[in-house]
Amino acid sequence: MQILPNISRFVPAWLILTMLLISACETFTEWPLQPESDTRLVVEAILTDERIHQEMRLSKSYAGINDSVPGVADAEIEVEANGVSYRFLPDPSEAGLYRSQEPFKVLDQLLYKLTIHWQDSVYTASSELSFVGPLPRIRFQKHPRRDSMALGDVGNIFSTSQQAMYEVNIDWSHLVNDSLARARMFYYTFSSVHISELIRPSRERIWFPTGSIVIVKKFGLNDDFADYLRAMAIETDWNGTFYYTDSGNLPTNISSDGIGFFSTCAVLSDTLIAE
Amino acid sequence: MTPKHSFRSYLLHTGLFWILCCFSHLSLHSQVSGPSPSISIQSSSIEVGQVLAEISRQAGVDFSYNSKLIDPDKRISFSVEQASLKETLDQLSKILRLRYTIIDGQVIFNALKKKDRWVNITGFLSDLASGESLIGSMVGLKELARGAFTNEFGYYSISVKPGRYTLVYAHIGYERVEKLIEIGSDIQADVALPPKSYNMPEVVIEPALKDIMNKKMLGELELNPDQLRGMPEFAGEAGLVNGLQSLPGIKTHSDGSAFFYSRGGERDQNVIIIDDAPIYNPSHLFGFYSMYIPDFAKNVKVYKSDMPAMVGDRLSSIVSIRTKDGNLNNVKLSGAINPFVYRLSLESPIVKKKSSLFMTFRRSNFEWVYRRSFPELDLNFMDIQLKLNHKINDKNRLYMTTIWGSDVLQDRSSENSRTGILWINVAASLRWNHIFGPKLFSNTTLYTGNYVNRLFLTPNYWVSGLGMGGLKSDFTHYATPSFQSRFGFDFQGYSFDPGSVSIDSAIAILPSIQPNYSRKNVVYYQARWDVRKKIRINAGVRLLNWGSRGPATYYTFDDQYEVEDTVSVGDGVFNEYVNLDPRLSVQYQLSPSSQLKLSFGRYHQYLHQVSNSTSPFTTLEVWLPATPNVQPQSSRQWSLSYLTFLPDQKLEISAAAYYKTLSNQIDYEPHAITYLNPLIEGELRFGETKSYGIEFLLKKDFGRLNGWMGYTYSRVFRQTEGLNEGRRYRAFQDRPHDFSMLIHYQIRKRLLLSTYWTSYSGSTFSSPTGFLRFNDQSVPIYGERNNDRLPAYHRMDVSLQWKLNRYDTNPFQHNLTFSINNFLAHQNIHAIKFNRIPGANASPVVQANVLSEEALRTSQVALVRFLPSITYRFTL
Repeated sequence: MQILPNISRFVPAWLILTMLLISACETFTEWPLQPESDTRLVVEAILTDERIHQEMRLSKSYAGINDSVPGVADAEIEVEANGVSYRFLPDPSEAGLYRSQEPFKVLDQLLYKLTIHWQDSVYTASSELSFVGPLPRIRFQKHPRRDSMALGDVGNIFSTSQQAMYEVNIDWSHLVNDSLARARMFYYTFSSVHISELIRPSRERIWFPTGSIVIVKKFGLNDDFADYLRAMAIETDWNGTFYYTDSGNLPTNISSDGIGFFSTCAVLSDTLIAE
Repeated sequence: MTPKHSFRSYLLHTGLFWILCCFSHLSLHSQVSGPSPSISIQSSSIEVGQVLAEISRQAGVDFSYNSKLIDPDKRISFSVEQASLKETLDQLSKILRLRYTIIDGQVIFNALKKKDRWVNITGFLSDLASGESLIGSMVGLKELARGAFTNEFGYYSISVKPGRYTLVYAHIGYERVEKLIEIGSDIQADVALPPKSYNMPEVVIEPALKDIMNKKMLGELELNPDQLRGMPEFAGEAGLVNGLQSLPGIKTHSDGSAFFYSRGGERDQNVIIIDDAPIYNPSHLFGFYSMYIPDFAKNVKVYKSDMPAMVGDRLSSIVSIRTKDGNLNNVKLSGAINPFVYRLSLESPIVKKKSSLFMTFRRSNFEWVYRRSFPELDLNFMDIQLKLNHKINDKNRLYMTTIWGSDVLQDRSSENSRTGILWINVAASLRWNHIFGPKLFSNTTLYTGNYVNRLFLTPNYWVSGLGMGGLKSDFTHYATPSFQSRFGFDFQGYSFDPGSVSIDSAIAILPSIQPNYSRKNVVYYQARWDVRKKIRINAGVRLLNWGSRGPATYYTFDDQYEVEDTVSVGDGVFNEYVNLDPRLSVQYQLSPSSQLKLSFGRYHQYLHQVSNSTSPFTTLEVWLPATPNVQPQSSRQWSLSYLTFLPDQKLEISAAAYYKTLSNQIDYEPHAITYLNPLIEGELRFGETKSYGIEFLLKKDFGRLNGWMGYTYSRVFRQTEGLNEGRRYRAFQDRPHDFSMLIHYQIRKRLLLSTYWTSYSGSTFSSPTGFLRFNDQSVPIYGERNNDRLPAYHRMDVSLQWKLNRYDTNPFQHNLTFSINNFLAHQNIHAIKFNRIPGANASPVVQANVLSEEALRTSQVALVRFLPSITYRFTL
């Protein structure tokens, strides 16, 4: 079964209208938030089917959107599948980053169980590996005047046969001799359509020079993780569009008032030179 | 007692004559208490006076009677033989058709106690110039200080005792007409009122009758299209929603929105019906304009509580628009043009004084705004509305209304296909008025309402829609002056497409979205009873039967909203709801100019608009019917209304307090999937809403300075299991304070200045109470739902209407309207976003590069600020 080609072609006229009606009226402002004092444990754990030292991050929720993320370095983490346990140890160079003691890969048809001990609480979650389809062809768009490029569509926004997340890392630091000349962007394919996805808000356009190194990593998503990422996209990348919807908290599979997500994904990766 | 020897003594007072007749000096007391006398009179032709004298002589009684009742010279045949006084008087009273009583030896004749005889004055009220029927006009009886209103077809019926009356016919904008009539039997009095002025809101008129009980129905609001036309415009058009918003208890979503909320209800709990046909998306250009065309409308009636049994079934408000019939006498052309929209109307008799048509066309013309920048873009809307009316005879009339409206937004930049969206409303009705008699009026309507919206990439498309057809018969029975009832039935059939896709199967396989079919049967009865002079009771009941029809496949869900079972059903009704909706109001007249009304109503709604969008803009709506998983919504509303009219100041002051509870209110799982989702019912959550408030309205309809001012204090709370941890939260439309003011001031005869001011508390929304980091992105965490509130909304609109004609008698009339929307350029915020960074031109955009060190900032979205327009109108 093929995928609906470029469903986003449905919407350019809407985007134009959005620009006409909305963009000119959107301005920056200051808005005092009403932060809640209690902090919660945030789990960011995506294990893959690559044989590597798997990583995950633990942090605490924070009050201000630009606040530094308070990492959690004093937790004990273990992942177990089919009677085999994998310990994760904190990386002393980055608070909140944990790596598996041994490299391992996530296997198909096994249930991986995460257990975290932190501050007298036990947090658990489980996940099964999802499959991943072939990497889509990556297209670039040339800047009309400069020798720059931008990413075209990455994947399709809709597919009933597979759900996926694309992490695209672009590095042109070697071309401009600037270590900050890098970008990371996320794209998604979901098996459902949300109005905010069809009519997205104006998004930052990343231009990079010809010769940039582009690494595309595709993560196959199981339904639960796809639901989580879709909700996250609604609250971030797609937030504040023409047809905005009620805001809400992301779902989670972490127990004991933890938030975030633990997932196991099959991945495919490709490295390209933008040209 | 003074004995009298002659029965020809009369007592005359205010038309009544009484006579005491005495025939003898005999003691009456002794006569009555003694042995019964035997009376004998035999005559085939004898004067009544002689009979009375003979009885008086033989029995020793006196007579007393009204000379209008008995003519003593009248000859009758009378024969009694040895009869008692009783037998004699019985026979005589039978001949004379009178009744008698004996008091202290005096026989008193009175008229028979018979049932009061009533006759009916009925007829149609119309415009003298155009023949247009007049709705809600007052027909009063000057002598009785009582009257009636014409119904939605201009018909009235009044029952009175035979006599001579002065009938007063009055309608705002028309000369008052008085007719003296002598009525002894039923009559039909069709009256045509001469119009007073052209195209300017009425400024000087006297109230027709000061009897306020007949003047107003509390809880029912009327918007005169002339008043609406007089309101400051948005981009060249005076919108219906703008007018509704000015009424207490009704709140709009925000700028550029056709959504409105009535007394705490949801936006899908209101319906706009035009000539009985429902319009499911009455907006153009995503909500900036409405399908309502002021030129085409004759009357706008808004029910927000105590809805009569003949209309329904929405929980919060029904806006009923009656359209113009068309000129029966002359051809008339009218139109308007402004930088954004133009419209043209033609009305003409087909057969003079018998049948006519009204046709209006409107189209947007704002291509000049975007054409240069986006030459491949089409963005426009269009309306065509047609009305035909035909008087078959005095007892039968036909009306046919057709309404068609469309919006198109499409991109033609691709050679192979076009992309875009279009939505279309089509509604039509065929109505037949029949007068069975002076006491029974009927209207039978065959009607349809259809709405479809389509997102397309030719030849593929996504479509959602709703179509319905109905047959309704409504009867009005004018039983007595104090009792009037309406009853009838309404049968409807529905077809729903909740968002299906037509796409080449070689390209993709998408979820199959099944259409739904339903039907609704309604019978209703509504009565108005004037129990006493000061007390009126309105009571009604609506019996509804909603059925889902097969063949269909539906799903059952467990308590985790996961599919439990798939059920396939064949033809016929597979799920039914039967509801009985009573309504009752008691209206008490505190004084001739003030009244109080207490009302209660229970309502059900079977159509649900499924959309978790909180945006002000319309389109891509998905409608779902009541099904086994989605029970009908219901509400109960108690309302206490007070109205007083200050005749000297010509001021009307009203206040209303209400309490409303709503059940089975649709809410959504966070981030619910409402499109392309065959399991959409599993995304819905059902909760309760409570709303209460108090509304004030000060209104001056008459005079050089006129207008109204309203204030509402209200609260709306929702509670839904599984959302907000099951706790109660403030609804989106919870806006405690709401103030509106509309002022018309006639500067000169041809210059009218209008100002509209509105201020209200901002809507609630959820702002983050913290953040989490995932994939290098800051993701909001929310606490209490709708914990925050947008800034208060303030807007002032002004317009100046300049009548270009010096004389009203000129057949060509034209005027210019200068209008400024949001004159003070106040930024009215309708959305706050927390994830923006400055884009290429410093305008806010969403961050794409998660490694960026650019700080995320908050942005706000405001729409219309200082929008001037100029409109030229003419009529010929």
